[in-house]
Amino acid sequence: MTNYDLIFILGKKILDGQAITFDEAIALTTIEATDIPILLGVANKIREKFTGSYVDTCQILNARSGGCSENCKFCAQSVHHDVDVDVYPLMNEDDIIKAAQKAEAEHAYRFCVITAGCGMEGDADFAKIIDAIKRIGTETSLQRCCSLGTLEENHVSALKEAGITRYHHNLETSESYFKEICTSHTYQERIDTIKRVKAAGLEVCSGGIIGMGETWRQRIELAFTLKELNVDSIPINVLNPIKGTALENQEKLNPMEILQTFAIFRLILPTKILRYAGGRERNLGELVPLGFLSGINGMLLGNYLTTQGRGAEQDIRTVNDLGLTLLEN
Amino acid sequence: MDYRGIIALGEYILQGNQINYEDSLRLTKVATDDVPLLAAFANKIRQQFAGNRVDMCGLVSARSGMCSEDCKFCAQSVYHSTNAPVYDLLSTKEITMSAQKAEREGAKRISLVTSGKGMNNDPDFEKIITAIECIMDKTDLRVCANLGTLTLSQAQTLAASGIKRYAHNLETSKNFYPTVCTTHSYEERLATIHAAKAAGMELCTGGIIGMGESWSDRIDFAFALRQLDVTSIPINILNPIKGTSFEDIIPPTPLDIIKAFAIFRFILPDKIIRPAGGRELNLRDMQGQLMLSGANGLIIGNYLTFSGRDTAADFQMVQDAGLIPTTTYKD
Repeated sequence: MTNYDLIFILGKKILDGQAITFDEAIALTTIEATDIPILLGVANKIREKFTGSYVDTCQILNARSGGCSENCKFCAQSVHHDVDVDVYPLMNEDDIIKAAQKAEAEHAYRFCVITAGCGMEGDADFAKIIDAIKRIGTETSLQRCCSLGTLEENHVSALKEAGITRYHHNLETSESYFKEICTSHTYQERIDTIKRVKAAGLEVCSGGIIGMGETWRQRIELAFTLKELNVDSIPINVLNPIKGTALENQEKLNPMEILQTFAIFRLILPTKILRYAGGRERNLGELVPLGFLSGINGMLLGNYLTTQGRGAEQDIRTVNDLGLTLLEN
Repeated sequence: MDYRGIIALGEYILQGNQINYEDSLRLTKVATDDVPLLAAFANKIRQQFAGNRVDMCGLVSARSGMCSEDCKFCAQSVYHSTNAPVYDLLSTKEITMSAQKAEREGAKRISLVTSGKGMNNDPDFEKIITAIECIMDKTDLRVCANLGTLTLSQAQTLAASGIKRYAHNLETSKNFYPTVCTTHSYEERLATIHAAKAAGMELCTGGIIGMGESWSDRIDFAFALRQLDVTSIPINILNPIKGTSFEDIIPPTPLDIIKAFAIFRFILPDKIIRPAGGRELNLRDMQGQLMLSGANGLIIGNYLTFSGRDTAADFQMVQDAGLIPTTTYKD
């Protein structure tokens, strides 16, 4: 059996509605370079079959930036890092609304309000955030998401009542690698928040960052954990090593390995939204559009939290060029 | 044809067999979501039969505009009113400087191109030979020539001057050719190709897609190139230039372009398939995908009558796709 026979055997299994095992996914990490495009092509077919040709877009708003107590090694907003990043308290409601309106004008399907910090426990801003989210609902037709860190049940129900349909909370990486990335809170704490949100009937957007020094096995572990949690949307960032962070000198991933990762995630998670996020421009260069032919069916449009994207206009044109369709409200 | 058909044909070629015309035509009907898989097999075929090196060449437009022919796509035809530059043959010094610039930008191969139907009774021919010899003296470039119609004796003179590869496009299929040009025949082009071959030169012969030809025209075209056994196949994607007869033609979509390149690779497993003009305009940011769809050459820098992009971007793209820009032709 050649390497690519395995790709087609597993591809067919998934197209027939079955799931691949952990070991099968691991086998896909060792295929030869020349077979990677075949894996991408199969992932593209699986994406088409299970999610259609729609691309779920979102814009994010860094509504409160910097000063985070946590020590996530990749993060420009951590107080443990000396980074030249904007630091500001919660934006006022009018400015949040303006940002949402701009996102809508730029054809984003979703809008995600994000705040720096560990979570909402005892956070005086929570009530203001709820008000802003309600107002976004009356003044735009955007799908509303937010990413506010750790939540307790009372927060979840308040968000649901305010009209949030999907909550973002990354796992960042596998459980086995997480302690290398963050020691100021636990993986379990993240999982608990995701479970609380799911239990309340909200959708979950949870993914992470690749290229932080994790092994292939750890990437596959992350994908299977996300599968087990039945998250709905999986943002995949590719590390953008920011000067001043603990990972500033982390070596870049090879572009083809990044695409291979997307494809394997698609094979593990056939029906979910795999969402392009930060670092894609820097790490993939001209191969960015290939993500959309490798299983990706969602993207952050415009800028990221602390880094610039390549502009919504170019991304939208790429999607159109590929015959894919943007989800619209 | 579903994806199993692509796999079967891909494997058939990887085993060293030649695809036939009917199967090639069936490949043009694959579903959109199977195009990446088709491209992936083209990529494997490219690797197995042509390796991982990408042949990157620059163009030197040594004489521009005022061409007597009526090729409908061409900004240099006297039948068209365009903004294309018009100038007589550049001096040997100017030509050599352009070549040196291309070399500095990373090209290892350049093609010296002159507008006009060909070299028959052309007083510039001797000057061109001098310029070629000067480039060979002053640079390490591999020099190709693209001078239009040649007689056998001119082809022999070029070969004797050190030209190893002659560029002369077929442009399109025989069937579609009369739609593209009426002032000279397809047979005349074939005659020049045969003359260049007879003189011992390799051929760089391709054409333009997206001029309104059908898929079967494209397949006919690829089969004509296979029969001629040309070495390098530049494929332009129509850049509909204002003032030309084809100014209003809507070029194909990026996925159709990718499909066309992949099918060319299925038909021509071991050749240099070279994306040329119009790739920036028509593929936009999908050029990286093209490098994984069977292409293994590039024209870099500027084209004859319009600008390309920064050559550094092309080198980066090739490397990002896991391929290797050719760094030398010295054996």
